[in-house]
Amino acid sequence: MLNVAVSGRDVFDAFKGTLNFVFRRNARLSAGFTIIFCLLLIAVLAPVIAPYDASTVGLHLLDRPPSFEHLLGTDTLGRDVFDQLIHGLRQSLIIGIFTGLAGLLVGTTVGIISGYKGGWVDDLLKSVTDVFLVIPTIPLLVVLSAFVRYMTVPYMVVILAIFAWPFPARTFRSLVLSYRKREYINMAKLSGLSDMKIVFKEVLPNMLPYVSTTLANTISAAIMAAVFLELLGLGPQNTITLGTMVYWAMERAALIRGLLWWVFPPMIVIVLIFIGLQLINIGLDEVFNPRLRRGVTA
Amino acid sequence: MSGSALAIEDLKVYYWTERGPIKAVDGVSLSVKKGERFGIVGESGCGKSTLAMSLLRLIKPPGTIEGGRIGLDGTEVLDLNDEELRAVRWSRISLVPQGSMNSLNPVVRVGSQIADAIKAHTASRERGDMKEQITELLGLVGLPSRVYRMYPHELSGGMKQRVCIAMAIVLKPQVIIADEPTGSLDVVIQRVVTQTLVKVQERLAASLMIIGHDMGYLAQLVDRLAVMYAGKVAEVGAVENIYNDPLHPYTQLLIASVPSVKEKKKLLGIPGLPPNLLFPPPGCSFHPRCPEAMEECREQVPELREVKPGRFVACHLYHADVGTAGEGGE
Repeated sequence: MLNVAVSGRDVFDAFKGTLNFVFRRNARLSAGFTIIFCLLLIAVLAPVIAPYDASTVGLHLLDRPPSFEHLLGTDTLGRDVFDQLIHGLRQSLIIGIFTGLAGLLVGTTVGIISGYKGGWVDDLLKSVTDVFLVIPTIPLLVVLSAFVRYMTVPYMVVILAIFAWPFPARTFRSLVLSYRKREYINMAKLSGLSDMKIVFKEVLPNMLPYVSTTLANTISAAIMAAVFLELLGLGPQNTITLGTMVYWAMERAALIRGLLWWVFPPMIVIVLIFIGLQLINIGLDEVFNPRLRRGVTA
Repeated sequence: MSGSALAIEDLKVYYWTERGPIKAVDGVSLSVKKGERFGIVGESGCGKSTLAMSLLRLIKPPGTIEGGRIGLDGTEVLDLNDEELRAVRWSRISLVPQGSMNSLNPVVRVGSQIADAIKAHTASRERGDMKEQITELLGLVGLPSRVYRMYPHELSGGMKQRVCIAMAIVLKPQVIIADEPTGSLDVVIQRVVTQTLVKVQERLAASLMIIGHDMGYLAQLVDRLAVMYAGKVAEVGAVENIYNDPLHPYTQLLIASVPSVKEKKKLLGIPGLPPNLLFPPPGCSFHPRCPEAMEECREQVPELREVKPGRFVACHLYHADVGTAGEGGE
């Protein structure tokens, strides 16, 4: 179901066709989409849904278990956990999506230029990519984050994006290498299409399946890295994210004190995000790669 | 060489290997008249495809065009810079590729692939209604207009090849090069594609250069024929003359190896193999396989000379005495 085309109507047709196909035929993909869609909806509507002000300390009684007033109870600082969860989800998704998009954008650009141009351009970009791939990411992330005196969500996105692009770059470089020798690319060159046109109209449409799976991958890697930093206490200081929630809960020994409603909800949501993205990833792979399809009747 | 749409002079294309150059095209001179169907025939590896590609300057490293001239109706193709070359390609000389199966992008609709070629060469206000233009073009090559919105995988091999023909003529070039346009198609489809090609060529009054290895196929199709052997032209002439009275021993053997339906006779192959172009034999490159090889053939490279009006042969048999040369072939 590789409906990729140029005009608006084509895109719409393709989109409709793909949606139909996906929801009728691939259970993983539809499950993944449903999970992520629900989480996104909650995140977008956070200010509307959240009953209280999540960032103000001492608004409520401390350490209350779940009740009708506080669906997931309150924490040791007198904040509503449900509130925090919703706002945390929103911030975590923002970090993940923006980092993922930035990594994908930079990665594909570098990869395509590198693969398509070849020569010294390729040598240079390839070496830079290799260096970034070789550097141990996690320790460097820790060091970099420690340097930022007042961590905010945009800073977080920038720092994570530095390490999000090399993998897509490597992937797309090798893809372009395989596409640029195809006969139809030669024909396009011969018929006078400029390099930009060839990349956007001839090469890129072939790679769209990889673009979408790579996006799902970079987003989930970005959220993973963000949560990791937040657990170390290096997360944004002015807002709540899922990782910082767990960090504060741990710091206040919530587990030992039996405040399970404080620790587990953010963890469960984090896991849900990963499951959703992975399902999308695997599902897309199955849809785009006919060899992986099973039980599909035409 | 007025009146010729394409004039090739002493063209040399070499592929550079560690053991020296492979002379794939070695001093070829040909001219194709306006509106003419010109065939190039030769066995695999004789340099005919390389010749075709070099006309569009599509030779990729390690291949290089070493020398010669390619005149395209007054334009020196080899002297053009990249921008000029881009303008000339497709609008004045275009290609129907060998493997049409792979020549269309699988994820782009046929219509928009054809449109891209138009867009690359014309300013937006000169274009007019492209959809109408392209549909008409598809009609010309005998495809229904719904092909416009189809993907290549929805088309059969013959249809794809016809799309390629349509693509080749979008800009109404004067010269169309078809590199084995019917390779990998069955005979019925071959015929349809060939008819399409001829129809299109006549409509545009363009010159058509067809590369092939099938003497029988080319015989029905072209006006003049060049026989290539080991990177050189062995013989050029009007196709009837070449068939009725082949001069070069290679041509004779080539024709003798086409089976005849009328009479049952033992087919004569050509003994031996084409020479290694890395170490071509001295003298005439055909002499190791030639039944009429003489002492001279081992030493001197025969030049392509006009031995009868309109008939060029590169063979020592005819060069000694032009007057009696005709008998050699009968």
